[in-house]
Amino acid sequence: MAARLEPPVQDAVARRIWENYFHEVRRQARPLPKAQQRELILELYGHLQASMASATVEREAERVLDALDKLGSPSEYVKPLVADRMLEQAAHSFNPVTIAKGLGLSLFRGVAYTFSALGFFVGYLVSFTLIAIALAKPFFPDAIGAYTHPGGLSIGFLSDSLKGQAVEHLGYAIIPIGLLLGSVLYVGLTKLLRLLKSRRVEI
Amino acid sequence: MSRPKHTTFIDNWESQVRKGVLAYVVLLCLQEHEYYGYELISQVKTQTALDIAEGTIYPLLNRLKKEGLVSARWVTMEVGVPRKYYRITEDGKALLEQMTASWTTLNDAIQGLRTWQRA
Repeated sequence: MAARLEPPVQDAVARRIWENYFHEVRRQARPLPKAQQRELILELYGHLQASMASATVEREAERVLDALDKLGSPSEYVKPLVADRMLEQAAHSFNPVTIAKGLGLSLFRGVAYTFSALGFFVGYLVSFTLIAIALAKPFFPDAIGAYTHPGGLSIGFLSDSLKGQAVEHLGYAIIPIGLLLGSVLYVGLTKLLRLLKSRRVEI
Repeated sequence: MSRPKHTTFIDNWESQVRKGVLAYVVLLCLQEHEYYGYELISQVKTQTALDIAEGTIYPLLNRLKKEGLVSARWVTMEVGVPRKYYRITEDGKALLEQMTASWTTLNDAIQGLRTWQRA
C-alpha cells in the first residue's frame, strides 16, 4: 500500500477528526515494522468504515466521533502491539536499549506485568552497578570495593565517615569478580526474558 | 430505589472476569466461522456484554497469530478496502479444547463449592 488512504468522509470537520486520529496512530506505531504499520492502518480503516456504516446518526462528524470512541484511543491498542514487538526483539537480542524499551512499555500493561518488569529492571540495575564498580575501581582504589564495617557490608563507594573503620576484602579482585558477576547476571536475565516470552500465551 | 451495595466492586470484578476470558471467547467465536476484526469484536461484545475498546481486539489477535492459534488472510472486497479475516488453526482448536476442559473444571469446582456452602 504505497499511497495514503483518503478518509471515507466528505465533511471537512469529519475529515479533520479522522486525519488527526490516524496521525496519532501512525505516530504511536512508528516503532513497528513498516509492513505491520501499513496493515494496522488498513485494518483500522476497514474497522471504522464498518462501524460508521452501522451508525444511525446523520452528521458525518458525529458518525466519525462515535466510531472512534468505540474503537478507543490509539494508546489502548497500539502500545501493547509495540510492547510485544519490543519484547520479542529483546528476547532475540542482548541490546540493553531494546530490552529497556520493551520492559518500559510493559509497565503500562497491568499489575502482574508491572511487577515482573520492575523485577527485571532491578536485576539489570544490579548487573550494571557491579560492572560500574569493577570499571571504577582503578580510578578510586581506596573508595570503591567490598568492605565490612560496624554498620555491616558495603559493596561500591565507601563513605568518608566509615573509611577508618572499614576492612576491605577483595582489593583489585573486585574488578574481575564484578565484571564476571555483572555479565553473568545480565546474560541470565536476558535468557530468562527470552524463556518467559517464548512460553507464555498472551491473554 | 437505592443502589445495591458494593455495585462498584461487582462491576470491577465482572469486568476483570470478562477480560480474563476474552481470549477464550475469541477462540470460541472463531471455531466455526472466520471473521474480520470489526465483526469479531461486535460478536464478542454482543455475546459477553463486555464493555471494552474495540481496538483491544487487535493486539490480542496479533498475539494469537504469533502463537499459531489463529491465521489471517486479506480478502479483496468489491467495495471498500481489503479486510483481514481471522480463522482458528488446528493448534488453536486443540488449545480451545484444553481451555474448555479447564473452564469446565473450574465451573464444576465453583458449583461444588456453592452446593457445599448451602448444605
